[in-house]
Amino acid sequence: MTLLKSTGANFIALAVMMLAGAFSAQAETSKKDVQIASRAVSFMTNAPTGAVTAAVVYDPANAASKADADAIVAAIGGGLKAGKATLTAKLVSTDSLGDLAGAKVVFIAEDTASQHAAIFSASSAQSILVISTDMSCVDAGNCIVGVASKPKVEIVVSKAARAAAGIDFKPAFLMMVKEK
Amino acid sequence: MIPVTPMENMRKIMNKKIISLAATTSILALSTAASAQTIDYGSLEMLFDESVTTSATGKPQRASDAPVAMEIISAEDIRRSGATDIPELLRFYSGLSVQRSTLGGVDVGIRGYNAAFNERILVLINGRQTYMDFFGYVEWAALPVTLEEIKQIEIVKGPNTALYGFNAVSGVINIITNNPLYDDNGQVTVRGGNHAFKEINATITKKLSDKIGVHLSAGFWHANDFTTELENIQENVLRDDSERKFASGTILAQVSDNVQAGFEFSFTDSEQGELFFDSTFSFSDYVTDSLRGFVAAETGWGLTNLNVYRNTVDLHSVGVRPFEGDFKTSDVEAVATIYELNHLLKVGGNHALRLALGYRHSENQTFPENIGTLDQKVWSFSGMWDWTINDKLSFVAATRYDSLDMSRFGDFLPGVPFTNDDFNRTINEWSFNSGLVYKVSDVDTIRITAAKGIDLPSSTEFSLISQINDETFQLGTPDLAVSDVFNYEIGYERAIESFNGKLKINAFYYKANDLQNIQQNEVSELPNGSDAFFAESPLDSRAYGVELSLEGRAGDNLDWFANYLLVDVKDTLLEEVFEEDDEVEAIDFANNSPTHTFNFGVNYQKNKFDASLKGSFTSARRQLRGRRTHVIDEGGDNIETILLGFVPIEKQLQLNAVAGYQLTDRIRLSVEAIGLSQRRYQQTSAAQIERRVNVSLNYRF
Repeated sequence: MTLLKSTGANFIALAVMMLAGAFSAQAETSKKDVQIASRAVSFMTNAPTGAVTAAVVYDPANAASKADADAIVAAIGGGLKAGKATLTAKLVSTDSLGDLAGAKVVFIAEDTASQHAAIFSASSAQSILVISTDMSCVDAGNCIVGVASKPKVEIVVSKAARAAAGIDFKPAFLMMVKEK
Repeated sequence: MIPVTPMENMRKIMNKKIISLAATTSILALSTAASAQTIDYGSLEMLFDESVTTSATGKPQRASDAPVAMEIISAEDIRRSGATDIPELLRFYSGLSVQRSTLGGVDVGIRGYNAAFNERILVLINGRQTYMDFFGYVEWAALPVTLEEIKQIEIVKGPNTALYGFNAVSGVINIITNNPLYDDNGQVTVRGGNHAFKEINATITKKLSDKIGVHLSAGFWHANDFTTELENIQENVLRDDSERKFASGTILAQVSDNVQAGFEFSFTDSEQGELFFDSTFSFSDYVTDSLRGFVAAETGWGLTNLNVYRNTVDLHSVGVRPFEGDFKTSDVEAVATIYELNHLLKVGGNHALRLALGYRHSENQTFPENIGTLDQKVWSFSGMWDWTINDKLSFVAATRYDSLDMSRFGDFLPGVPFTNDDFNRTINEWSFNSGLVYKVSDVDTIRITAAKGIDLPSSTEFSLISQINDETFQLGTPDLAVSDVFNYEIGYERAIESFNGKLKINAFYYKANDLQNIQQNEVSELPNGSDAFFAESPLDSRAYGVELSLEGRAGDNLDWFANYLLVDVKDTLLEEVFEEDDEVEAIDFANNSPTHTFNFGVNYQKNKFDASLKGSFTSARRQLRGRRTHVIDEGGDNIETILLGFVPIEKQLQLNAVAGYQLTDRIRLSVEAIGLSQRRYQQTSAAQIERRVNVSLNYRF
């Protein structure tokens, strides 16, 4: 009986977690998400080298978005290795997307869904790699790479978005990721 | 010690081959605008947080996506294993069987079907075939690689002929070494132990610039072999010292952003007693060399690889003539030249295709009498299709067509009833692999696979000419049947977060038709009145089996594993081979395969200290043993012959242990014990093997 009770409780907990997941469009970006995203940068064809600016775009009107952006910046720290590049973070609000100039990579913080199209529009014109943990952004073709680190690493690449931005990846990388 | 091939001759041969292959490589580099990048395993594994393999389908993929049952052994696993050679490392992995007869003589099998000179697995070093055409087997001591330079070992269980060609019928073991464009490391290991074992090896992998890197490796070991005597006292003179020396090197260049080109060489000289292909005990000296050129490139339309390499082996083996005191020796050479071209491309978002064209030319001097050469030319064409049906379901299908043209030139011993025309033969064979992978959830995966593999008879099984005595021959058979094998399998894998572990279950059915046998078949009378044993295909065999594997972590410092293989092999003789004693089957996979194999181990690591204890239990079995001896024939003459009989191998538990301490950031001291639980134990029908204890000092830079 104890086992049955325990199993039942586990099912309820699992169901609650699944429901919570369903209503949460984007989980908070973890340090591991950022590490995976930065490693993905090194698999770009003609990957950037040396000091590279990574713009972290957030919605200034949303505290959760700003907090997530701060977490991404903290994960990048004083410099995050990405192959032959070292990423340094630069906060950019959705109100000032003109500040993306000079960046090679964009990390999109959470709670910015309504701005995804605008962010991508501003980024793709400058061939900036746009990365998010929000897979709906990739599905919509507004992010080039979507990453998730839990429960296992998943990397999704938007064919349409990378074509629009003129960005390509090494074939071995593309063989191993999901392309949509 | 027995004489070896003169080094001067070897150098001349090597120089010619280097010039030839270097020229070929240069031409390829110039003419191939697009070929494939070598795979950066380290970066891809860091990206996906799991092992990456190319051995399953030829496509780089995560281990969890591979449509086959496989094991991947990492460099860290190797470092903590305490093993001093590759077979000892493999012993504890699920589904593998390791049978050792001497320090250097060892056979490895997958899911049963192990035997002396096992010809049923294909071993690759960075994709290069290493099997020896004489017997289609792998001489482990002659592999030009040391454990310390290995990045990972990928083990594919089940036939994979559709990707790798003939002989990959029980499985494939692909040894991946450090890549000079992606890895930067070096080490020196000094090791000594009982049996006067002494070893030194050194490796360096160095990127000289952004455009070029080198990998160099060399090693030497020498030991007095085990002292336990063989049952046949005459053969004990063959239990001489064992020794191995090797060197290898790779230079890899980034020719352009998208093209890499490389050149590789290797050399080994290994000498050891071993259970020979006919189950007799012999002493063998193998001198091997290989030269390889390759171009790899990537374009917007995929990855292309071009490989050209040549493997040469000189086999000098010594049997024994009891009572007469003279050694019976052979000294033969085999040369194989292989050309491989493949292209891998992704079509749309959900399909990957791999097309490959191959040509293999081998010239094998007839064993053991060097009086002729068997020539084999194989053209092959293969295709692989990997379809990601949706997020949960994927399907892989691969097929390959091999066409072999065989011929022979040279002489025959008087009385042998063949002409060279008898060897003119064409063999055409199809093989396939297919797999369905269903990801039930984020942690559960089901695999269903079906495969057909092709086991080509070895050159010796086709062309052996051995005169056992004045009236008896042992002969190969030029029209020997090719063996088909089939494997059907279902597997389940579950990641278990509560102990950071993994459960794997595989159930399989394996069937092999027309298994070749070169040992003691039915006696035939030749036209000149002599007797002959011909190589035959007298046996069908099938196996049912289940593999269970569980691994996990306990806390921050301890990890553990346990795996179990149940395999039930049943052989069916197609005809009554032995009229006088039908209990003796010359090939006897059913009785030589342990029904139960259980492996377990724990690894502990804290701060600078690490320790490991592993065990391998195998149930009782028996193995064929051939003894060269003299008998009185019907005419009253004393003649030499080979008598076959079975030697029981008791159930046994082998324990291996290692304890290591990191003296500094660069220096590690370790003590390794192999066969800790008993001083002597028997794994083959040859003499017992003995406990080994070594002390190792490893310096990394």
